[in-house]
Amino acid sequence: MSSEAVVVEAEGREPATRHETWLLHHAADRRQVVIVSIYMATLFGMYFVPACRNVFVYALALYVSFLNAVVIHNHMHKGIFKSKTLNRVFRCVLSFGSLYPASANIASHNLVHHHFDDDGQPDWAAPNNVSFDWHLLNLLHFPNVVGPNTFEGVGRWAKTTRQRDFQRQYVIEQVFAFGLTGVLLAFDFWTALFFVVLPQLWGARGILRINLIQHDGCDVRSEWNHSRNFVGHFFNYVMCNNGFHTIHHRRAGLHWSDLRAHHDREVAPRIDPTLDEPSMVVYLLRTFVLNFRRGETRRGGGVDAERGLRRDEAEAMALSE
Amino acid sequence: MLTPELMGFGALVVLWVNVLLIAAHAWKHAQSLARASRALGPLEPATVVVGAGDGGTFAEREIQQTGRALVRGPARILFLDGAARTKVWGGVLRMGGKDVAVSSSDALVALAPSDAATRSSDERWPETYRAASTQRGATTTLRQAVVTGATVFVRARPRHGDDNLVLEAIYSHDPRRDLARGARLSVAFAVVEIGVAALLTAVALVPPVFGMVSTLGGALLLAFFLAVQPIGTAVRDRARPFYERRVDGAVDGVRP
Repeated sequence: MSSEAVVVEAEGREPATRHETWLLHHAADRRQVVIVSIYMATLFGMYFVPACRNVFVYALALYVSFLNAVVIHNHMHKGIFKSKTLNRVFRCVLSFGSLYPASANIASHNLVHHHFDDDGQPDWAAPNNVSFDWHLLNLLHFPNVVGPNTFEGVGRWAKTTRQRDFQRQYVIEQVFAFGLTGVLLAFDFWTALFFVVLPQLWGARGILRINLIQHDGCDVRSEWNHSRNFVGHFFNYVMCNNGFHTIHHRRAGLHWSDLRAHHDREVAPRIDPTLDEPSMVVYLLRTFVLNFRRGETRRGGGVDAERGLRRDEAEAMALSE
Repeated sequence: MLTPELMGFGALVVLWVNVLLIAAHAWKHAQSLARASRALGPLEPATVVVGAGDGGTFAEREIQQTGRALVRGPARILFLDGAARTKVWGGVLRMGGKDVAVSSSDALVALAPSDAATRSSDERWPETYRAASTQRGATTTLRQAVVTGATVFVRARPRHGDDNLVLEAIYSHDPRRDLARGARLSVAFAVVEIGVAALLTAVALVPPVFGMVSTLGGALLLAFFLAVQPIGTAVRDRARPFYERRVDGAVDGVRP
């Protein structure tokens, strides 16, 4: 363990190691800052430099656009900077990257999705929002339904939330994201549409699709079989461990860099092994391309008592900065 | 090199795939509403003569709701539906001029958000408001009851051995009209959506492509793409039959 390492032992939890830097809570978050920097470089590069408008840069932009949305997810669970101001500025940058206010994740993901429908209220991003027989169409169409569900729900939630400054930050993020995109459109409409807006929407809609990929066919009432994991090493390196979804639902407070260790220790021995997929690409091909029918949804027992604890943890994380 | 023409073609493909998916979703919803209408079976109007439950209740629905107070503005609590349960207490129905006894059962109880309702918190505003002003919110039970004198639509079959009926479903309004209206709305949306997308695509392709008119068409297509998704889900919600709509609700009072 390096001299920077700090051991934190919370009551009732496993000890966790955190490698702080002067700027970041966790050194591993440098990867997230690099991802967002590369993404911004590709967007502005393509907008301002015609030579950048080629297949390679565009493919990279689409890819890191999706990762930008993954960073939103991680950052909204735990701000990556030690400075609150920097965290809020970073939210604005991320919001521009995905063309939606990052703070929307507090309600839509941290509070609602992490509960599934335990409290009798629907998960806005539940897989049953789409029902085409040909499953590929569900994957394509999913954001068209879940996106509006989410923003309607966030708007309702925003009117009553007790979280300090949420409304203000939410508005600032919208003004920044839509304002900057609007300015780019106003100066050069077609270039901004093709090389900024399309990548933005690709990432934002991609992260919504992940809900379908990670939960479709799973039993959301089960303690362990509510999520599908993608456990490949390369995949999780570039995705900041976004493949370990079961442990993320169980322990929303864990830093993403700790997810593999906890998955291996807590989830792998208990989960239905078929929900630990080695490769997302193979899963996508098998499920949506080579198969024309949607699989059955597994059914299990009642909701476990630990679900309440998990919900409380997700809620506490969501309401802290 | 990714030319504007190539990118424009790609953008139109993406747009049209989604336009057609949204239309197909609406069409599919219309089909499911038509199927639900056919599956209703024979419905008969009836009047509740006697309700065997408390206060002459023939059937009821209870919804667990969570209420949260507005942060700004009036002292208002917004309620959201949670888990629901229904119950038929039974009693006597008048159908076709004849009084028929109905036993208690777990038959389908289909009520509308507009049907009269009471909340368990109605008499405790100060406590409810205080609880609703926390992040966790106030919990309450909303109760809707079909009582003596109510006009309903029922599906029932005779019980073997006597003149009583076995109730299969009770609706507070005629669901056939509602289902037909929902199906028409969904189909109309699908047609209009495709029509508007086609019109705007034509504007975006007015020569010279990427000229002023074409750019206006492109801007309208972008706005259309962003707007048609929430419009699609709003139409879906409006097309739902009354008994599938959320009750939710808002209650105003005085800040304690």
